[in-house]
Amino acid sequence: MTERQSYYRAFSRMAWGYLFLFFDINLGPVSILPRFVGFLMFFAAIHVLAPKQRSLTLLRPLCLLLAAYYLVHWIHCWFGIRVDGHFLFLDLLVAAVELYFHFQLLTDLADLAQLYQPSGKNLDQTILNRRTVLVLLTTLGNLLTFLFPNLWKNSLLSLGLLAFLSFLVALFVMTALFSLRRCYWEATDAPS
Amino acid sequence: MTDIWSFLLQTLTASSAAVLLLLVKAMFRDKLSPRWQFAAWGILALVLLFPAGLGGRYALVNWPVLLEAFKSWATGDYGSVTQVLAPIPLPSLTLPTTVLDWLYLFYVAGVLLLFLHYLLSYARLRVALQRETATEDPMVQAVAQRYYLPTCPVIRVPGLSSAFVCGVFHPVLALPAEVEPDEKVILHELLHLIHRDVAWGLVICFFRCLHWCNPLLWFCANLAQNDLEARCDQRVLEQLEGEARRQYGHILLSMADEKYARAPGTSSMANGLRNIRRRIQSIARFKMYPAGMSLVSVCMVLVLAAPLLVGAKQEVTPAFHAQPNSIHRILAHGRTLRCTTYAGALDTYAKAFLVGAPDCDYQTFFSYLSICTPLSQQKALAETYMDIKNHGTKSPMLPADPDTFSGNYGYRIYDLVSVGEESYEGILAIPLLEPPPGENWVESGESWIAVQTVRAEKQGNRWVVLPQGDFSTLAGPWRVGGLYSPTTVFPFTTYEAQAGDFTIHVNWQTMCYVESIHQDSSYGFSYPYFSLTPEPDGKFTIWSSEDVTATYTGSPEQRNRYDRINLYAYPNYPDSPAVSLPDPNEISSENGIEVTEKRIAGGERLSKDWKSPLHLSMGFWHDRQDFSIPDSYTMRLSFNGEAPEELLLLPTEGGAPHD
Repeated sequence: MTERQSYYRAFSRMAWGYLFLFFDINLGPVSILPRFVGFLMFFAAIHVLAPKQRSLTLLRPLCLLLAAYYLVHWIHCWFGIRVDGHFLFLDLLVAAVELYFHFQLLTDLADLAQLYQPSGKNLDQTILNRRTVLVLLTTLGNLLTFLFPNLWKNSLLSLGLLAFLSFLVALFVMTALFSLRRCYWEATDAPS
Repeated sequence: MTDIWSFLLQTLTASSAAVLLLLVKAMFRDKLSPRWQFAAWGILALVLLFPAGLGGRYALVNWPVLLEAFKSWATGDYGSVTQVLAPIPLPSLTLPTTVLDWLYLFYVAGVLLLFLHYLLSYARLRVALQRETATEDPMVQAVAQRYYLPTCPVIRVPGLSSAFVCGVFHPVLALPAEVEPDEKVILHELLHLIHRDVAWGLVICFFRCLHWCNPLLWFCANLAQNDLEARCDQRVLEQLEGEARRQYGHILLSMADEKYARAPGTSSMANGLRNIRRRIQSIARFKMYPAGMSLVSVCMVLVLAAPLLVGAKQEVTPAFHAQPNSIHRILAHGRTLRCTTYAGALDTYAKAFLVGAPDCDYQTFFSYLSICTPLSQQKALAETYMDIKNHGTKSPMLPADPDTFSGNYGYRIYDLVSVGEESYEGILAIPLLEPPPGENWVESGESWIAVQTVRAEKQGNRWVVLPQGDFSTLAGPWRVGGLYSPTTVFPFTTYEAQAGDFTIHVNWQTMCYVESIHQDSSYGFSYPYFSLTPEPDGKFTIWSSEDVTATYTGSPEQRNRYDRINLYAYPNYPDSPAVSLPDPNEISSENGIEVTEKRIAGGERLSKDWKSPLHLSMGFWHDRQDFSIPDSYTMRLSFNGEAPEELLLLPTEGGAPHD
């Protein structure tokens, strides 16, 4: 596989990774789009893209931590055990790490977009805007989860709203990352 | 903080927040700016200022339960719940009598002595500085003008090794008299001045005094002080460029072997070898953080701060979740919870018996019971538990297994009435799955129940339950569906009036419970289940039944002349307005008598061989808003469609069970 192809694939993984993070389809108690897979996809993509964007390497340990955390959750779900809210210490730590992870990842990808986007296209700014919305929504979701756990779990309206917003954010972020993949492919296609 | 336990609760709560912050800061040391690193300590400061366990909540670690359990184990005290009224020590007004009182006094003395030490250090420094003359230093003026910074009086002090700012309200900049300091050092101090960093130093000293015996919090205070300097270094580096930044690093390095003695109310660039090493590492990572970094920084602080400050509500959990489930831990769990409503207290009490079937989960039984038991009786509760555990004494539970499986669903409380200010009394009835020992199975349509008179009472901020005697058992003639129907076993309030050949009675009864039927779902199926978890904040669902009976008192020859009864009645409450009643003959006699909260209306066509007494409306409950009992009933009654007679039904003496 050429370097160009591997970069292309890394951008794809970044985009599809968000599918696993924000789409939650359950078969009984078990998610068929587990979040840890999303983080493993990010990890693989970061490994490839790190030479292009050095600050991505800062995210590697965080990515592994998040993948491990969600893997443990997923395994518990197989046995019908929900561990949400039982380890507040860890949940808080992960919430902070996840916020920073998305912020820094999308900031770095916006930097890469600046390199490959054709002149006149503001893909970097689009990614940054969607990053900001994502961070704000994640913060709001975390605050509601930690402060009003029962209200959040019992209210169908808030659950529906959260699912809808997550769906929108994931869709927007994914489309921006697919655009970045296309920009990269087209930019590297031209003879240097 | 009013005793050693409340201090421990406060300092332990802050310690768990400190551990979390240390972990987060360690993870983000190379990722987030020194500004964020210092701001994160603000969360700890807020935790330290918030009384721990406020509103029965806790953050991260359930210290209230752990501490209560330890307190019971160490002192045998089950009759109090540790509360933090204020984050500062409040002196006790009584003389110390116990070792713990003396310990608390020792702690308070430590706070005062350390505070005095800091105050004297500052006063001594200020006096020493006042010996020198304050001037307007041209070099300081030049640096201030170049970087658009305010200045303050400058004092040259002989023998001083490095510059520092002293004071919050009338600050002075102390510079060495012998050597001319580098202008970057002056820039550092002027930046301290403009951002009032000395005040932050004082806040840190304040917390050092309050938690002088907690080494973890002292460690955090040292780190916070260093982060304050690192934040100032960051600001200096933002003002400098290129070579000047490298020179600044060299200046810091040159201070690394200097001894330092920090006085409160001062800021100093030199702060010891280890701290300077950390700051150098921070400078090496210096970069202009990307735009928008403040957004994620604020979001992270919010996500960390909100749960640490608001905490989680204590929740009722079965005792087997508590490990190790010692009596201290079990009762501590119950004690730190409290019932906030009388309904919650009675629900908790009833469910303790529902969950604590004989020879079953007696640990959870005691745990639930301690939630609604007066604090003064908690020690007796612990002793009972120990008797059962160690000597196999008969437990105070139900005489037979409660029925939590059939449609009976738990318990009901009958005839709950107010018996004083914030005090309610009623009859608790729990259906049994089997006959009590020594008794036989009863006929179909009947069942055994355990009955106890209970009183809910408010003591301080807790609703507690005081049982009025032991449980007794009855084979109840439940009419339909067990406890769902009005029962004739418990007292009714009976209202009575005479109308022609009939004595009319209205038998009034209430029944209540906290709704505990929840829906659960799995694999796409939803099903109702009865939750055995008490709801200490619960509210009652209230039902009442108003049974109307007509007892014939006339001659046997005359009874056949009656073929129809129609009536219309409404209850009279103390402040209810008078209502004009419609003619009951306008109501059809075919559908029976309907009873609601507001009225009793309807009619009944009598068969040829009707028997006295006539039960005109029996076996129905209707929901109510409250427990208020009517003073009387006004009724219009008509026989055979004749002109109606108006009656006033008044309560009879006693309100005994009726047949």
